[in-house]
Amino acid sequence: MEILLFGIIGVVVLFSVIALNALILVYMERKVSAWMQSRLGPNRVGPFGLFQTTADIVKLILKENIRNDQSDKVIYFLAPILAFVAPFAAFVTVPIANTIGIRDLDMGAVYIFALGSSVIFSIIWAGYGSNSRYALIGAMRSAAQMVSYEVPMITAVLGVFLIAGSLSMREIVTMQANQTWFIVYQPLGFILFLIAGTAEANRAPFDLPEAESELVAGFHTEYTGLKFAFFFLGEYAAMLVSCCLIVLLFLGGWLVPFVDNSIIPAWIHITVFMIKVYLMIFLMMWFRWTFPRMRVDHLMGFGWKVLLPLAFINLVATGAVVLILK
Amino acid sequence: MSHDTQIKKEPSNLSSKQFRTDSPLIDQIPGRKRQILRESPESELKMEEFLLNVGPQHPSTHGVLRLVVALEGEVIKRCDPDLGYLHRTFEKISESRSYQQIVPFTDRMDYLGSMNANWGVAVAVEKLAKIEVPERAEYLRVIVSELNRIASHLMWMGAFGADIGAVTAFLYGFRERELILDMFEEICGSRLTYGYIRVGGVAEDITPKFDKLVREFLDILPAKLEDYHNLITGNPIFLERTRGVGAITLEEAISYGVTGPMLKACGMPWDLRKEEPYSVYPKFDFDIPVYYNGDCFDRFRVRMDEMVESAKIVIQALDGLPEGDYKVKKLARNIKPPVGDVYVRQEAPRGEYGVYMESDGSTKPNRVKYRTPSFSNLSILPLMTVGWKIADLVAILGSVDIVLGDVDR
Amino acid sequence: MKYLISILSGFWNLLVGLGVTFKYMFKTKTTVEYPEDRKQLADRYIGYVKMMYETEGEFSSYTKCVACMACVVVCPVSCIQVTNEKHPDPTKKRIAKEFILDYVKCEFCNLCIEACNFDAIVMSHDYDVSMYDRAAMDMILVKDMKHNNDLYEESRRQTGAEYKPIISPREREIVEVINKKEYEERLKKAAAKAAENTPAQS
Repeated sequence: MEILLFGIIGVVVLFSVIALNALILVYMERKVSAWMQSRLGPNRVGPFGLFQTTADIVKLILKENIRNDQSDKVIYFLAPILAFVAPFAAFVTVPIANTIGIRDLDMGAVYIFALGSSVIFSIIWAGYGSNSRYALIGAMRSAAQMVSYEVPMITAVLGVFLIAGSLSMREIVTMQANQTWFIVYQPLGFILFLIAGTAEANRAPFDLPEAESELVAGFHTEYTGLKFAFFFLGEYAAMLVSCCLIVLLFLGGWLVPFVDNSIIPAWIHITVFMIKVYLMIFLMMWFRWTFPRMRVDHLMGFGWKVLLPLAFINLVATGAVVLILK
Repeated sequence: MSHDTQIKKEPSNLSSKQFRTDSPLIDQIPGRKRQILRESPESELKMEEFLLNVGPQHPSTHGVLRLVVALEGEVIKRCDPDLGYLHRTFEKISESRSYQQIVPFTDRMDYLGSMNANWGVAVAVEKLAKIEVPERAEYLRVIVSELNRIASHLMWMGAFGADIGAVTAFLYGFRERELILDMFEEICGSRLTYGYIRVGGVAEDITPKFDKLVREFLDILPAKLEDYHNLITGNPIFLERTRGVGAITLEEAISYGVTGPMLKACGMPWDLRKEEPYSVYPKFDFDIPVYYNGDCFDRFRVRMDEMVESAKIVIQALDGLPEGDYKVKKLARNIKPPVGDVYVRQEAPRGEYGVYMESDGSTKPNRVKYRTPSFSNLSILPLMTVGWKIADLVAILGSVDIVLGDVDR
Repeated sequence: MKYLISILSGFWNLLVGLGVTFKYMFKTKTTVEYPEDRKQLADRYIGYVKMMYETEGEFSSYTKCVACMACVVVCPVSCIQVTNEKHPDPTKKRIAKEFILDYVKCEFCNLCIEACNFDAIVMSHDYDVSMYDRAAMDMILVKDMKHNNDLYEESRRQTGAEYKPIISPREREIVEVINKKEYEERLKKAAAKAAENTPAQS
């Protein structure tokens, strides 16, 4: 009974935190893009337009659901749910301070990567299920894209695991408290992981499944109303997961630099963690509003010919150094 | 290397009867080098054509253009443009209006280069009716049409960036174009459909504020262009997306009647301002940018360089602006040119803009024909896109710089 | 080595691009917050057509249009309809009874304004006139010889936009200068005529 109650409370808290963060991220994206483009951005709904995204979501909920007559019903309905649930579930093992986190798994990293990759299923389902040609091309691209960046991403991050000697998120951060942040040991790994993480979150310049100027809206062309809102929020939740991972693995998680972290209260840790995550998110938004979109074959070439060899070099070098130091 | 032009299975939600199943344009060219398609052996997996209907409502068709694209995976096998969604019978309308009334309609054809569209008609009528235009009017025409060229290329640069995926460039292009629209508002009151260049001169004289605005703009233009180059031109992703993409040879370009920046990108410095100097262009010192690869990137570079050259012309014309009338003083309300015909061609932002006008001695032209650059440039699209990916289709279509009002008229 | 240099220069170019967007984050924004803030319009701005009217004398608020049909003839899209009547002022011949301009057709080419010899119509600086009804775009600018420019206010009331009357310099010139001058001339003429008539009677 207690476990059930704990679970329900955990889910509700987690859901509201992620949904709130996703709303803030949408607002932030619109503001950042506006400022970069010499515009003002949303400023009508609420003070500084803060409630713009809330209003948008309410609008999407109230909208009529239009479904393509020949779509595959079950898959069509499941896709948006998975798109939001997968990053949501990945958050279970993300610790935001030394003692705060839903659950710390020994295999936490593997769990997060597995769930992060399963977002691809939702994209493929959406593309296949909605019986639209643009959506199908988007799904095809997504499948091809996933293989080419998932492998370098995991390979790049293996170096961190080698140094830390653990797959538990909390332990990895504790290791960074004892030594230094892993970005110092793994600068190449960090850059590779940042690039692959951007691709993982389907963000420009790697937003090929969506590719609005080519495929109208890609895999979610045929989605309206609440289902579209799920894809929309899911995209930002996935971005949040990616950035949390980068911060936890390379940027010392909740650690405050140059200070003895054992005496610092938890709320400062949480704030520092969130600041780091949002800085990484700003970086991703900055990429999106500066770079053109890559072409699908260039992306695959880039993944296999540039990222993967570099990731292997990084892995072998790290392994050798770790072996020698032992 | 032959085409498999038969549609093997009818697509589920699109009737194949609506599409032409063969593409005569493409099949006429034997042994095209760029076709990287392989025909699958009959015994093995059979490749099916995947028909994709791009447009008329699509974010990157720049209006209501419909393209029926046959895909093999992501690779384009055929591409058939389907025009006419914006056809507004401007030639027929022009034949039923008096000579002065034609001018406002031409604004609506090439709505990004309205000044040039006005100018062609005005010159055609002046040649028919043998009207001498004051020199100040010619200078003003050159100034506004070159400013319009800059505005058009800025807008094109932004739209091309947005096609490729760099949305920020779109807003930057519009931001600077806005300054030029402010100038046009100052002299003729309109921001899009100017109707400024009239038969016998221009509508109104320029104001001191216009002069100030132009000089201010030309001062900041080089810095802004450098920003665009930093943002777009140097970007390796942009280079990969455009270099070599949609390349055509000079022979192909000439045989399809391609003109303007697209021809200059193929290595031919053909510009009517130099080849057949009209108006007061011989008095100005400017160059024609030429590049030799004929791909999207070279078209981009030609247009970026043309902006610099146009700025040069504007500043020379503004400095050397003669005093005098800005229009013919006594002009009959209803012009009745003698019987005859005339073909006027000029260098519009998109290429050669021609007006053929035939007079039967009455107050209305007997026959009007517009040769618009967008239409001729678009005709080479099926040839350019074959063998490229669906993402390149958007880039190639963007590099043509079509205005659908100009294509369909 | 060449390959490495190309990778590094590509990387550098990406950073330069990022610098451009970062720079503009802190520059002044170009947005004008319509409808609260509006752009300063040029004097020659072409907005909707406004009908001018007499402001002096017994015929004030009567339209200045004398139904000469110059605008009707010159309009490329034939969007103007004018019906005429005998002018209540005996010194003038005709006056427009009804002047209808179909804004669905109008292409704002300014030709009618240039054709008008009586300063009867001007291009105002109103540009945000919108209607819920397509038929309402047939704007009746003169009704029973009186000008009917409240249409623009009506449109704003319908669409809920804040009403700020915009008076173009040309409108002000006609109301404040030209109308007065014309009125004085008319008075002078009438006085001269009266002076001619009175000695004959006595």
